[in-house]
Amino acid sequence: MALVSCFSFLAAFGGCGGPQSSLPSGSGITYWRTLSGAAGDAQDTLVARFNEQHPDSKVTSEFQGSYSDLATKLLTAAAARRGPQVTQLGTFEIRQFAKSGVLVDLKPLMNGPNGLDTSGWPPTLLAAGEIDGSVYWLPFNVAVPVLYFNQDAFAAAGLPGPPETWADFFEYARKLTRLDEKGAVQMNGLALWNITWPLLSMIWSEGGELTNRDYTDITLNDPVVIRMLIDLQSLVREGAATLPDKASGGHRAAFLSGRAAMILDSQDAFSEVFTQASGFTPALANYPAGAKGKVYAPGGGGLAILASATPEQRATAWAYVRHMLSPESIAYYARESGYVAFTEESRRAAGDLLQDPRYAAIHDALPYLRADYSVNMSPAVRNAFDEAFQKILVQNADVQATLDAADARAEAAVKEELAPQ
Amino acid sequence: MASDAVIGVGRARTLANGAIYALLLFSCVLLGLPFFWMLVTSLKSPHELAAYPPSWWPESPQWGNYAEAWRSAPFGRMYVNSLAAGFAATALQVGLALLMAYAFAFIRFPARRFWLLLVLATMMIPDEMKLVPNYLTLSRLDWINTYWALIIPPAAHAFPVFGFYQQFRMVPSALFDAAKADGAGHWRILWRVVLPMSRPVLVAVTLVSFLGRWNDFLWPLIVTDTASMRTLPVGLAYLKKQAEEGASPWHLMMAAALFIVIPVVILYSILQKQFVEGITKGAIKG
Amino acid sequence: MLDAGRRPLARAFRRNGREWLTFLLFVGPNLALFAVFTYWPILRSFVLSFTKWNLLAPAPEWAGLANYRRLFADPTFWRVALNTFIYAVAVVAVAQACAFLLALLLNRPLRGRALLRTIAFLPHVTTTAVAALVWVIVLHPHYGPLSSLYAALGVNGPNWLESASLALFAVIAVGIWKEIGFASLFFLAGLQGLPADCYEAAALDGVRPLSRLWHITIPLMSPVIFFLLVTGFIAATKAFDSVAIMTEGGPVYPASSTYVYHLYKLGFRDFQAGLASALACIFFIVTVAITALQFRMASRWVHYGE
Repeated sequence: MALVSCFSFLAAFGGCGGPQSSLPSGSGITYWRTLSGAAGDAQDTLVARFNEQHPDSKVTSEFQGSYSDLATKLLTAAAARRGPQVTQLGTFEIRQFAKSGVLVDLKPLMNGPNGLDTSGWPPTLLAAGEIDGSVYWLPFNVAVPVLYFNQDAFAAAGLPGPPETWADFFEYARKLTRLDEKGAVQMNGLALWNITWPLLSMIWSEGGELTNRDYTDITLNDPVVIRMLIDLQSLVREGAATLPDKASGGHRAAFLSGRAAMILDSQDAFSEVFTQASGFTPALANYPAGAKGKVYAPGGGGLAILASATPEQRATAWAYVRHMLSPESIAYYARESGYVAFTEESRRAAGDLLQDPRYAAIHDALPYLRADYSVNMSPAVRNAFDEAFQKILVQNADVQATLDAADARAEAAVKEELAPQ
Repeated sequence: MASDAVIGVGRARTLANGAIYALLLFSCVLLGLPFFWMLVTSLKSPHELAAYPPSWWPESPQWGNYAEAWRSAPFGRMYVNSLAAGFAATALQVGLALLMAYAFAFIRFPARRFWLLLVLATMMIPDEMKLVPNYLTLSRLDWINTYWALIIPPAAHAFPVFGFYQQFRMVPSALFDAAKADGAGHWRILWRVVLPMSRPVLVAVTLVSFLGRWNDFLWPLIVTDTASMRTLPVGLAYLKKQAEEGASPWHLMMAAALFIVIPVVILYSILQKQFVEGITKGAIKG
Repeated sequence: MLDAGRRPLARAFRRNGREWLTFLLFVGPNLALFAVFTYWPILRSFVLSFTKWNLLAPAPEWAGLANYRRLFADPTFWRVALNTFIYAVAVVAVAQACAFLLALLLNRPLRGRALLRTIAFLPHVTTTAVAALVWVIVLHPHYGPLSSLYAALGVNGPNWLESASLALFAVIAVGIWKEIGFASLFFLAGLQGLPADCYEAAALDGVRPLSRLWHITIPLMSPVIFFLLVTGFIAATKAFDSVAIMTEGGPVYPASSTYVYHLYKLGFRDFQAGLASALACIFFIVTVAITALQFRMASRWVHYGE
């Protein structure tokens, strides 16, 4: 009986296949984006603004899941020569997409009549999407490193303020660690984020390197890398640092509940930290400086135009990218989403946003950015470094030996990767 | 003497029943705990989420979480899509599987075993491997971002075929032969003889097929581009944060998860009677 | 049918034509869909497994047996294969044994069993993605319910997802949890379909409960058990969602990675669609072989009544 009714339902329903694909006609274009919550809504608002200002062209914004969901969708659609004309793109995919000719070189457009003035951008930010002298990707949602710390714990440990150098940082982590009478850890000095991103700032500011941009010189076992990981490993071993699992985003939970005195995070945690911290006063600072001063690895994503777009669509696509990267848009996005206003003009446009000393401190990081996504952009290097990081901090493996092996593995795998397709 | 024995038996039965209840309760706690935690988490405030040790019951239940979660994605539309695509795909899957399983079990044809294995083999390729080729096919049909994409590719599935086939093989051949002798055709035998005897399994397989469609994430995500065509599990992704962004709003995610789970729990409790109606119904056999 | 095989095809067809046509009519629609949406992808994977391709380049590049050679020399491949085998065996064995027991209990005339049945089935109703998320919280050493238990016992609970040796078992726990609900549903449906008269006869003959279980229930249930073993094993070898959400194969990849997760990672994250295709082909061949073996052994213990 149930089956019969199912069939009749199907028959009734079969007539309508639903809306056909939103393939744009003429100069209408589709924009695929990621990021949920406020960061997503703000993008949709910016798209709506563009459509208001450009009545003759229409951008349709479509959410496609996480960065990796989006990448899977782009890969699948590319195989069928479908997909959007503009997309948000994480840093993992830039290189492969660009090398395979899927993305449009933006350099001529940037230097053309309706160009993009990038003079007020942090020096290296533009270089991020530069491959073989062309520009395939422009940063849009820029994240910068931010250290959050528990002010009460700092006061209790007699520490005057945030650590200025990485050496201080390691020392503070030890001083902040509190044990109960049974010797169990009550508060870790540091809860580590279970991704390698914070390490990049640490390593670069101490003068270490993981790889050069064309992967001819991979140095996962650079002496600085070894030293930093030995320091981190001993923190974990002593109980001064903990490494919560990835899935629960546990480093923040540990900090928010007062079980860890410091976290190395990004500005993205800002609203979470200042609304949810329970039983203590949180504060933020820039990451410490190293032997080379301050060097900060940015995070986040950017925008790219897909080569499958028709010339007409490309014009609209470029107008749209310019709109998204206008000072007003960046300022609006920073205010709504918590990403940074990374250009000088956008900071001016943001006005009172930067009056808050906390936001001002976040934006103080901008001059020190080093937007080099080489580690991200090669699966070989990224996988090898991630696994070494985990082995060392989770399994307490020998640092030198682990990094040597990772380096050898990355070098072998990168050769395979770089072979022309 | 006799009464002693009866008392003894009665006591033993009470004891056995007690043990069974205890065992059942224990397993239900184990099976139900994560679900309970989902419920509790969905009612917590973000503040309470981070509390340590965690509370077993929300201090003050935040019913507003559900409204907030509901607003995070077009869940209303997604319900319609999930129901429409789910029912249609399940109806096709079950209908086509019934025919195929019947043919494998009762209709004479050379090398029936081979055909069955050929069908079972379709389960042995990971769905992830089918993404790109099937997307290409749908793209050629211009079915991307339509209901067809959600309904037609999953309409053929080996699981219900095998489930029905196993059940049909248990139908006594005497019954089948008798119906045949009465001049009934295959179509009639399927509806009048085989199906009535297979109702518990029919319902169970249908339910599982439906769940497969209802809970599918990757395929709907890949073949739909717009929120208007998406299903509930994809809606959940609208709430999830990524590793690069840090912790997700667990309370809202659990609230949204309940949007997905509650309808099928209701469906299950309704259908339950259909396949566990009591021993007597099963006695048709033999 | 055997008769038909020995005669010339034309005569066999004249004799059985109507039957054959009916067979094709019944089987055709499903088979056509399989051809388009499953056999074609299998064939394509097979061809791609001999190429190097990132899905983006205009055309794949011929690579001969290089992918297979690389896989067999790669310890990660063997590790994910082993993980998947452990996962599948543990999930199928533990879950089905528990589910069978649970179904036997739920099949008894008990008060409130409708509610108990619903609870038992809850895990399967819950999307794996959601189940995995919930378990991430449940297993969490600080804000999960287990932490209260640990505190009560005065021990430091293990950090399941943070330990390279335990993470796989956390993933297995979710697999078992989900599978119990699923398998008990089918066992229950199967038990309900068993002929009552066999039991009545046995009860009259004074057969003890345990031997009744062994000599009557299990043989009668063997087709259901077989069905669940085959489909449960295949489904378990394809575990993906829980790994993607709980551990991403880590910590220390591939500590808790499964075969299909690795395949997905290679194909869609690491731009190695050719290698992923080779992985898929090996998967296909091995699971077909295991299933065929299960069928071969089935003739010894599966009884279809008369």
